[in-house]
Amino acid sequence: MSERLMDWLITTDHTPASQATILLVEDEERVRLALHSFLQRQGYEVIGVGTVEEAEQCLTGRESENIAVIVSDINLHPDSTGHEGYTFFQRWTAEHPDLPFILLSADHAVWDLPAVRSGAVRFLAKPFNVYDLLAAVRSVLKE
Amino acid sequence: MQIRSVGARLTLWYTSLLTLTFILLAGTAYGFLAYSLSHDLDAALEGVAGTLAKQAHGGATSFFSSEVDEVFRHFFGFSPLDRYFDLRDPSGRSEPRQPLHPSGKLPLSTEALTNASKGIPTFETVENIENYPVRLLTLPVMKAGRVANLIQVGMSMENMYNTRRRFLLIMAAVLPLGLLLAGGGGWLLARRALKPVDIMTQTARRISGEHLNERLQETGSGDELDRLAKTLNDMLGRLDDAFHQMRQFSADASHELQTPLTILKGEMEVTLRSPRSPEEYQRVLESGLEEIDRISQLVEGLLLLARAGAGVLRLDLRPVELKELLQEIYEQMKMVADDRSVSLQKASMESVSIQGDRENLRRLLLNLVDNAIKYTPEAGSVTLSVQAEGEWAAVRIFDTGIGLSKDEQDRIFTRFYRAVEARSQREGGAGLGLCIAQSIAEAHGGKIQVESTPGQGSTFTVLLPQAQS
Repeated sequence: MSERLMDWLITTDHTPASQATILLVEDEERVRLALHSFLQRQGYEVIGVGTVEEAEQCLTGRESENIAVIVSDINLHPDSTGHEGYTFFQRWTAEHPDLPFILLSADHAVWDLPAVRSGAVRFLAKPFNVYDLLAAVRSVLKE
Repeated sequence: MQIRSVGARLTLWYTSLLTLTFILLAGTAYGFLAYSLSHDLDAALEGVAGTLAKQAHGGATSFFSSEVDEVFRHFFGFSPLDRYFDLRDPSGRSEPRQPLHPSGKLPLSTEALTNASKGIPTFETVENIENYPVRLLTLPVMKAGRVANLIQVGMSMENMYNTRRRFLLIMAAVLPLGLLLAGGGGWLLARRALKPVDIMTQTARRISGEHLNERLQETGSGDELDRLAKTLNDMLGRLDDAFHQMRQFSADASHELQTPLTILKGEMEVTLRSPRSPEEYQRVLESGLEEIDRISQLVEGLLLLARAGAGVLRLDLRPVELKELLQEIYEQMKMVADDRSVSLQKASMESVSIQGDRENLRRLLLNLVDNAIKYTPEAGSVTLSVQAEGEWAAVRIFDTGIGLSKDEQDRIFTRFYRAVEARSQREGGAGLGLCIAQSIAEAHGGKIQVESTPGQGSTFTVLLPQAQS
């Protein structure tokens, strides 16, 4: 319901289109769809996936060239105290330092993760302002 | 002053006890030594006086033979004739006829004279003759039933005093040395024995809420300290589990709560970004209400679980006819099932009554039926039945859904657990439904069992104790 609402509300927003593709990793279907709609309405191409495996498939697949930024939840299924999204970030950044990440989490314990604490990676605590997310995306894309 | 080290306290106690024992032993030994020395001295005086008395019987001229003199010199290193000897008449005057010159220094007390007149020998200790006191024996020599002479024999107590002093000196030297050795050894032993305690203290200090996975080192020797370490480790294990559960719970709860909040917040921000028509505001508010309902349900569910977990879930127990209740649920869920093209059916519906809380039981069954419909693909079916089975009332919810693996069957009743498929569902709940259902069943003294074949379907059986008729 809400992603449709988001679509519907944002049709009235007039934001210049961008060509960049965002890879969105979020296991909560409803949150993912809402963010997907929101970012799409802001003019981005969005690939939404629910797991790290799917994300890695996208990054090695055909669409990979266009992906300009990865927005990923830190606490992904199956263990919500685990930090799958963070290990994914570490692993991927080690190989591809040019691909920027924006991490999301509702768990305050993630402030203890080194890259989050040091500010080495952009991080938004849930529930965040969607326009803060937009600002972060624009900032890492240097728009 | 309070001594903080057990080792120091042990050493102090041990040394004090040892000192006491040592002093007692030394005192007793000294007492025996002193008694024995003075007894020996008296016996020697008696012997000498006796020998002299026998000689006196033989006549005053041969009173002292050279052999006697020699015996004295042999045994005592001097002869009493030198200094401590006197021969007196019965009245106590010194005998002028004695062949050798007596010392003439020996006093004769009135008591000794009186005793002598009765034929009784007297032992006395006399001071002021020389540097040391002199032990003096006054022995009456009897001849034909009356006192003929008095023999006085004395011996210096110098030797005896010297021996006693030497004994005390040795004791005084040995005591502090012994105590020092014993105390030092005791302190070292105590420290060695208590070292594992120090190590444990240091390790335990390191273990905080963040590092509960650390353990104390167990020596495996099975002694008191090893048992202590084992006990502490067991306790740490339980704490670790409890901490882990708590962290998992708060992480899960915040994760679940943040989902509706994130959406609610996002929608409102987008809405406020530009002026909206009343119709738009209405749709946003409706959507917002949906999210708020989700949050309320979640909080309510958590509260129920917390109460059940703490054993304070209030049940309003009344007779409940399960057949009726299941019929109500059937009617309520028929629409939901139809919407999803799942056929909701009834099988054997026996009339079974239990003592229970109707609202909570409704919640339990609704959760299970809702779950069954949710995980059953289109054209599948969900079948309800209720039967009496011995002491139990058994409600079964049978579905032709996706089924559960063995691992999932073990975990579905855990808080916030959602099967992989469940998480990707748009209307997936927070993963509290089955946990709540289980808690309600348990609060009624019952249980929920699950049998399932992946890909074919699942059967949930709710067993509740039947009312006593």
